[in-house]
Amino acid sequence: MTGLVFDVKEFALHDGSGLRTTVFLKGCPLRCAWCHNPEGMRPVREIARDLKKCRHCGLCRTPCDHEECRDLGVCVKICPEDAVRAVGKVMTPEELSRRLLKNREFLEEGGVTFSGGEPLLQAGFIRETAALLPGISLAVETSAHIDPEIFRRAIAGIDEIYADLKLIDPALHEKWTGVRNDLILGNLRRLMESGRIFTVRVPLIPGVTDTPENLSGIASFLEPGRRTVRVELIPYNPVTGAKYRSVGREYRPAFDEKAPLRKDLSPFREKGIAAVAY
Amino acid sequence: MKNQALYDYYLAHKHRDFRKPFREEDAKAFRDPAVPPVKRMAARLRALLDQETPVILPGQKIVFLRTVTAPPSIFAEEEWEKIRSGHFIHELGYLSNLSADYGAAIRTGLLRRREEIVSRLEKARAARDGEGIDFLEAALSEIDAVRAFAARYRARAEEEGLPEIARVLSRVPDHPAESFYEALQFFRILHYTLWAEGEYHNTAGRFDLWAWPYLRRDLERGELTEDRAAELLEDFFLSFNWDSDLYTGVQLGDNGQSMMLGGVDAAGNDVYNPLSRMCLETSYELKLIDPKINLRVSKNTPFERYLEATRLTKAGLGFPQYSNDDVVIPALERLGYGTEDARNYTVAACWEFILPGVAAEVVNIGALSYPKAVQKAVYRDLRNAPDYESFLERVKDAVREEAEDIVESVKNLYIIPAPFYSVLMDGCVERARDISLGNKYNNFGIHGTGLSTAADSLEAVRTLIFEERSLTPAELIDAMEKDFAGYELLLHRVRYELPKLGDGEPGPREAAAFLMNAFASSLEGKRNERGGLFRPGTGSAMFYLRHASEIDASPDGRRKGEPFGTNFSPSLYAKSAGPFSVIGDFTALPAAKTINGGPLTMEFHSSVFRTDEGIDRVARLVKLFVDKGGHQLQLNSINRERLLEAQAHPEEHKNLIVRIWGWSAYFVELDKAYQDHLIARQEFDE
Repeated sequence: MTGLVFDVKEFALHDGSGLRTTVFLKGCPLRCAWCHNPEGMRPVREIARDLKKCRHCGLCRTPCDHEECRDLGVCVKICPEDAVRAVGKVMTPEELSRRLLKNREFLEEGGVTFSGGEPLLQAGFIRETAALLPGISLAVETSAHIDPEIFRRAIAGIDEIYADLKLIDPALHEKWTGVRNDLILGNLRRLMESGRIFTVRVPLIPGVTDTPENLSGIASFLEPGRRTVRVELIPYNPVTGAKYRSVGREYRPAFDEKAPLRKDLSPFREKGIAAVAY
Repeated sequence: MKNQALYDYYLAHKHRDFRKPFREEDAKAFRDPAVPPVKRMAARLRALLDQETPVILPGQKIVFLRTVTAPPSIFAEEEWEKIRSGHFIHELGYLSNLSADYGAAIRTGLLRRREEIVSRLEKARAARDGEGIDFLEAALSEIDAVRAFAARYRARAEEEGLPEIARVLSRVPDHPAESFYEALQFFRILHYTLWAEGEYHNTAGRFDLWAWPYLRRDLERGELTEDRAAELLEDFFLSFNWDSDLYTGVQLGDNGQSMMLGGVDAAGNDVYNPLSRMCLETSYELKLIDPKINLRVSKNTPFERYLEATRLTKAGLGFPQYSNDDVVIPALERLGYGTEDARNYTVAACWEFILPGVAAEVVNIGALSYPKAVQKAVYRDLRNAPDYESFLERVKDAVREEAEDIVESVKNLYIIPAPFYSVLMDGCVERARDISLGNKYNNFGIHGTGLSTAADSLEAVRTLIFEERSLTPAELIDAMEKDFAGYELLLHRVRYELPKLGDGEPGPREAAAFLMNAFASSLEGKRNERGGLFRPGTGSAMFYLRHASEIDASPDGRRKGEPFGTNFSPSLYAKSAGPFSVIGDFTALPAAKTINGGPLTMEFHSSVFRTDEGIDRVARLVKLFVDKGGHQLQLNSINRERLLEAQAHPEEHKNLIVRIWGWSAYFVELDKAYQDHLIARQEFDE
């Protein structure tokens, strides 16, 4: 069993309570137009270039037989500026847990969060890693776009759940994320019914998700869970585009990035749902 | 801001309009080679204060302003050259980096100090102790010069219809302070005089320890409200800034005006009090580079205090710097400091541990370059080393040789006398000897530079040469000499792939511990000519540039000319695993054995501090650092984008403050090399 990890970030401030390390797992079924982690989308290793550091010396095209460079088409072990890197590291649960437990005393004051990408695409890897982290509080940040049975089993061993809900309208959801939201709504509905406490995060995208219809639609959907659900509105931060260019893509969102954001908590609060905006 | 007008006056630097150069013809009074230097120093201070014009700024409460810029040396160039050729001269030759016992002087008053000197002088005369007589006469003359100067300020206050200032100056400095206001004004007079006498890196010491009783009494008696006390404190903090551009340092801002808060008193009781908290708040409000706030903490420090301190970190001044009593006090005791003295520690200009009143140490007499020692061992011994352990023994030899070179080079130290400083130190009047000749503790401190570069280099040698045997010593040496030209794969491997100190891996950590132990043992048992020890340290000061320029590319992949990390921190080019791993590694090292001072230095992006949650997390991190036994920590809140922007448009970022190696400064006033170093440091973000 291995997982594909694209980053391990110590001292992550927005991924759960206390002092936390977040593990970013690579691969996501969604293609949100505003995605901040384009390097987390594809479930395979790929190269990322730091175009500011690249001197166009061509050294990375030197033929090599490094295991790490296989299938990447370039050598990632030669750049003097480290401007060409492999994104995605294949790790065993043992390797990942060893990496995390180097900071055990810190994590005991918080925990480990699995994020992505969509972390639950690698639910088995998470479960096996979690088994090696006894006494460490765990959190997951998920799109909830996942098979209900996988979702149910995956969250059983997780202490804090952060699930995204971007758009309540199925057609709009498909338009902006590439997938319909039926799996997501189903998983969230069952989560509400289970009585577990969890957080729903709504990324506020100007003119897309911050509309009155969407926010009040989400609020109505979450109303049955008002005693256990907490809502966080996460404002859109303009994406620089550099991250997209580094993995060979362009960032051209079909919404107005600079339009004012509606950070409206009232649809939630009116229904008795705890909500904050960042 | 309680006194916005005075603050604005400062920011506009209008007070500098009063400045004038020293009147050269007055230099004759202190240039006579037939007169002993200690008396010439007194004559120089007298001449300077005589030339001074009392200036009271609009709305100012704590007075004394420098209007005369630096006076010339008491030595003509030739005379100084002669002294230099026969002595070791530390930096500029003046006393620096000490902490006076301000509290004792403020409780005593200068009149009584004067009486003590007069009676001691009689004894010295009876004993025909010529040196003692010269010193005591100099001290007496300086006390009178200061008193006369204060009297002129008092007269000015009366003329200007400022009865409150006049009343305070009718009490101090002659008599013991009886109120918080008088205590602050008294301190200002003493501190001002030290700078005027010529000493530098004049620290502020443990302010909340000696000043709190005055404030508490005033508050209890209802003579002062908290609001009014805060206003006085602002004025007092401003007083550290009026003249500081005239003070000596490697760069503007490197002026040593460190203030220590918290910790324990001589009996071991917690010192942190409402004044400590007010100091954190005032510093946050003013956002000025002085005084530079330090905080003593320990396992017993309540979490709330870390929150209060982290709120100040948010201001971006690089304050407070933390020192951990649990590590520092026992380590100082092991070096032979008495328990009560050790409990009273403060820091020198940056982070060197010093003892107010009793110590006359030179805390930065030299600096050992760990990477230079490693390079020496690689070039000289690596080819013949059968295994890593044997090679480490040769590294130890090289460290010892470097340390011994420093010890040998600091013989016959001469420090320019400092009679007024002596008046503020314990025992000088009693002994009738100037503080420049020594005091109860006379240890010398030696920095340790480039620890991470050296440890990472050893890890590269261990892995490639001895473990994998994938590289020969000859190849490594060739790569270092050629700055890795033609060795791109090797460069990538050592620079970007092998673990670094701060990654939480045992290899570099063990190498670092080995180096620190080697440094400590190489100085063990060595005595300086004043009977003091040599204290190894974990600081770098500006040697992170200077030492780096002295060696070739290093085995860790640092290219020739690239600087080391600052102080006790990961290498500048190591992208470490994160704040937890950095703290984990640096709290696992034997800092107690190298306790001259030098903090783990970490940079956080300013957005980390944006929310209360962020403040809470940073405070937890600091608490864990302390609980895990870290000895010293300084944190920067910075924003690289803004630093780059400030480099491009300095005129728009005049008030941008950053922490350099142990002091805070206005970014745009720094040399580019120091700016670039800061920009290159790893910045931990959200």
